[in-house]
Amino acid sequence: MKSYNSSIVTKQGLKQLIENILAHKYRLLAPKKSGEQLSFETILRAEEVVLNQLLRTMTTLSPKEVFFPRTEPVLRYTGQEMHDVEPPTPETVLFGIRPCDARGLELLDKVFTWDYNDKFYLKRREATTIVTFACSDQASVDEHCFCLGVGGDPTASSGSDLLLSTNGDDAFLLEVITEKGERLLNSCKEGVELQASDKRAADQLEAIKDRFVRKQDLTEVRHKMPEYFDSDQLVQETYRCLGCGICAMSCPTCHCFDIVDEPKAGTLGEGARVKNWDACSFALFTKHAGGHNPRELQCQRCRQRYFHKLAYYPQKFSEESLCVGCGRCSRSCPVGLDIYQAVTHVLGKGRA
Amino acid sequence: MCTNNIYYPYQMKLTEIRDETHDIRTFKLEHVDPKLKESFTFLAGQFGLYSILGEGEATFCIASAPTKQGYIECSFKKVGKVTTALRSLEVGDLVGFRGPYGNAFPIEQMLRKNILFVGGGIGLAPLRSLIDNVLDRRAEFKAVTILYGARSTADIIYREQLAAWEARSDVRFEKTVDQLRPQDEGKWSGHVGLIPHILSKMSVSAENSVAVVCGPPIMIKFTIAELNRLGFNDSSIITTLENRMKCGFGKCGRCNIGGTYVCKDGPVFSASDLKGLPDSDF
Ligand SMILES: Cc1cc2nc3c(=O)[nH]c(=O)nc-3n(C[C@H](O)[C@H](O)[C@H](O)COP(=O)(O)OP(=O)(O)OC[C@H]3O[C@@H](n4cnc5c(N)ncnc54)[C@H](O)[C@@H]3O)c2cc1C
Ligand code: SF4
Ligand code: SF4
Ligand code: FES
Repeated sequence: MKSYNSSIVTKQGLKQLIENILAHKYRLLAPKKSGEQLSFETILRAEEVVLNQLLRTMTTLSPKEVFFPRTEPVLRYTGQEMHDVEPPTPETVLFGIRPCDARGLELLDKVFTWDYNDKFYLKRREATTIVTFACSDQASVDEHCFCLGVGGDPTASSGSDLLLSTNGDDAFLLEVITEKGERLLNSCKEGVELQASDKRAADQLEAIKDRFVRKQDLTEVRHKMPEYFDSDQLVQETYRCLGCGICAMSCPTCHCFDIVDEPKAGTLGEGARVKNWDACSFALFTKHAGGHNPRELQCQRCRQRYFHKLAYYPQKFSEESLCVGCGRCSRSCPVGLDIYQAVTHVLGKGRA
Repeated sequence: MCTNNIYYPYQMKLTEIRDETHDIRTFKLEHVDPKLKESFTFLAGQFGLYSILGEGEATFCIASAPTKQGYIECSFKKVGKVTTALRSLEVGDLVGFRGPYGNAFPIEQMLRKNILFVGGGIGLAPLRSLIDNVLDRRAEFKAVTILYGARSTADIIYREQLAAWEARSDVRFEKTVDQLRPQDEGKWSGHVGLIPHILSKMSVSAENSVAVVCGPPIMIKFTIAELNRLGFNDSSIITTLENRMKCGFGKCGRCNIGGTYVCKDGPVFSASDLKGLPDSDF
């Protein structure tokens, strides 16, 4: 592990850094208003990155689609002939993701490398440098955020290559976390004034913790699974789920997908086999060919999503939960379902 | 050939087609690449994803025995898009194949034991790979008993194979159908009744025995209960699950039951493995 090195950079300096990233022909992705939503978009001009906005609002969809697109071909065919596909991998800087999202990528890495390496995901990961914004601004944390309850931390650096945090009104603290981050900084720092510092984003952690209304520890659920699995409380909490899948689509760590062949319209025998996002909340997801469905009821499908994140993944891959507490699923759910609330109720710890 | 794309199938040539029933068909497939044809190996119990370009992929077990080299067989029932498209193929056509995936039957743990095979419907497909494997190494096992059940005489698969097993003096073979149809009158030499019921009357011994059960989920459930009654403990009952799958290698999130991925930790499980899983999820 590299020993960290921090510097203070002014707002102007940070803008220069962004200019340089663009001038060096990196593909730059950062949160940008697209209609009503904030989403990760390709940035062509430095002014498109609105620093204030990006510190305050969470993107509606997570950055997972930079690595795991909602639809992507894994092979193409013409008649009986198959062709391999390489994922497009321009050198990319993913700028302004949150610590929860960065950690989410590390959790996904474990899935996409489990005995079989998914090159479509991994090649994009290799080609991308991650510049994270710690949730150090007054307004970064909202009433849905609960990273602290799932082993996360609003100032944590895991999964990031460079970590930015606020430092007073007009300046930022820039920490180099990995060699990849250092390479990016070295290649793009001309004209950027960096003033060495011994501070870290983590120094602000105690003060930031106070802004969280959701601090209950959800990790405990995994130790009492058999007891919670048949909880009536959970059925009551989740029976109103519509099965729309918005939660899974917006989640940084939901990784279910379908594999289907999509013939190209207007051609004879041309097309692609594609990987498409899917969700365990969909009724047909697990339906057997014989008609039997192991998860017949919507509340069983909700339970699957919650427990996959909080119990099954930790059991399979590491002690970490697959939920990073970003709060996107509850911000977007049309019927106000909320993993944090449901699980804290099941844990019998009262309403947050 | 492509080596680093885990979604890229091998090409196999369809060399033989057999109709088992009105809706179940068996394919014999051989690798197009001669090197692969030589080197390809698998274990009884493993599965693969079979595909047609433009139609998609479907999961079937490998129904031939690993001791039969140079080809694989699969048997599939027509139930939907891909299985319907596969039925339109003719000898000489190409089929995509990814695999073999999953664990395998614990054949080493079955050596020097009595083996009871119980197959229901198309569940005989994964069982057949194991039965042939065991019969190809017959001397290494004690008594071999096979009980096969089908819905009706019209739904019986692998007829030639069943007759060959029935004819062997070193195999006890029993067959049953759920119900007899009028036209079967006087022509059926087997039992009539559901598998667990027939099993209860077969006086099989649980002593030094392993039971291997494959079939639809409901049949597995009741057969395990009957085997327990006969004195089989859960660790000596082996079965396979067929949760819906897409990737086959632990990424797509479709097949898990609790923290257990049927595609990677299975599809072969012991009854004691199953009882450790959240019950209502399979
Ligand atoms: C490990 C394993 C081994 C298996 N081995 C075998 C085997 O040896 N032989 C065999 O025959 N099968 C086997 N199966 C089952 C087999 O994989 C399925 O039957 C097959 O994938 C069906 O493919 P399909 O494209 O024809 O069906 P699909 O078109 O996918 O449809 C199958 C079923 O899914 C449901 N469904 C899908 N889409 C819809 C929709 N839009 N609306 C409503 N319902 C829908 C329906 O119930 C439908 O009948 C195995 C499965 C597993 C996991
Ligand atoms: S929990 Fe909400 S967002 Fe998720 S599937 Fe159910 S209704 Fe849709
Ligand atoms: S489950 Fe909800 S809160 Fe947890 S990581 Fe996914 S979107 Fe965020
Ligand atoms: S089939 Fe994709 S995870 Fe098991």
